[in-house]
Amino acid sequence: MELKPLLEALLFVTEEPLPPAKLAELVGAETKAVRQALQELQKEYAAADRGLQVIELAGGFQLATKPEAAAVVEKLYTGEKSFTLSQAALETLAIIAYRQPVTRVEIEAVRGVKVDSVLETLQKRRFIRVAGRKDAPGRPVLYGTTKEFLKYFGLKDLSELPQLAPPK
Amino acid sequence: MVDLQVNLPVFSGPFALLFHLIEKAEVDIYEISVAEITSQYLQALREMQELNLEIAAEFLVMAATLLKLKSKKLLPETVEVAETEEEEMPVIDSREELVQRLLEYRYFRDVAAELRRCEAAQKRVYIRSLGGKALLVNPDEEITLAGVTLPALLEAFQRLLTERERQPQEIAPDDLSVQDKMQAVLKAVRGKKDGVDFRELFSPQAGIAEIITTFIALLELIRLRKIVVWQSGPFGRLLVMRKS
Repeated sequence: MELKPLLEALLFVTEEPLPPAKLAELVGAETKAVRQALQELQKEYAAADRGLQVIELAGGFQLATKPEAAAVVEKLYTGEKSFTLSQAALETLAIIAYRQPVTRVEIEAVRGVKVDSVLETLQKRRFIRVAGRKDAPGRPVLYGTTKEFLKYFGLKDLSELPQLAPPK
Repeated sequence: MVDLQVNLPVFSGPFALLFHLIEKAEVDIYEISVAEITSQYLQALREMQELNLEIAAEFLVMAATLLKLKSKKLLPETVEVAETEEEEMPVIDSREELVQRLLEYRYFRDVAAELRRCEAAQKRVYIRSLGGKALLVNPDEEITLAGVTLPALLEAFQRLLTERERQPQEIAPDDLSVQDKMQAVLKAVRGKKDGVDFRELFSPQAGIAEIITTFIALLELIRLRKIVVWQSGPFGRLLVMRKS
């Protein structure tokens, strides 16, 4: 079988976004050729008569449903995605995403509230992880975002974070 | 009986409440008057109290901060108030600082709003789920004990210990190190595509100390994602293999 259909098959079965290098390894082809074929697939699926799309997520590729199909898909899987993050969790994540690696005290300084329990929840959901310790008195823990974070918000990588004018 | 429902804005922190007040009063952040915002803020806290809402300590800290800023303005400039503060939260000392902090907070509040939009968009996209059985892809942030639960691993370890306990022990010089054992385990699994039986990692002559050291080395290697442990089924053999 040719490269493109093989990639299509992998993108269909995978539960995790597959990076081009991993795809190349699986099909035994050059990463460059894989990227080329992925682009073609992406274009083909973008056509209006397809219900799926090739998405780029957290550094990898994957087949997913198109947002326009959501209403119908949700009839089949009711309540699948009913979870939403709280405002406090979202603000905390925003600070971590832009300021990482960042300590708890630094986050608290911006939000003006304690964030212990929010950090715990975010860590449990694997949106953040301990990214090291700061070279400062007490060696406080530094936090950073994870692949799970990118996946949840549908981002390719951190550079895709919404760009706003930075605070002066 | 119909339940009475009261909808109140929930503030994620004192800055969120301050912003709510500033926006309600339609004042430019740069133009805020400390006296004005302080009285509005205190009024809001009073209303929250009347509704028997629990007010988090941070909201009171902000109230105190605002009052301090306000009183500072009333005092002659030369008077320095001796301060001994041990708060974890940075202290706001001037109106300018308050404005700075408000601006900074607003930035991240706006980012959070953007993230909320991303969240909503991504919720409409569905990805296949096979129920967690992909063999080739290991999410890099996960420690993989492929098909092996921690209790299963501990059970195997305990069995090994009880078996060995009965054998005559030779007291050897204590020259065991986890580092060495990690090397030994890695060497044992090198080139073995189908993995090595968990038991083979422990030599028959190994004493309790050596078994424990080897086990710690094994756990360390799992943590470092150098090896994976795999079990074919319940009570099946435990296989240790190198992670590709």
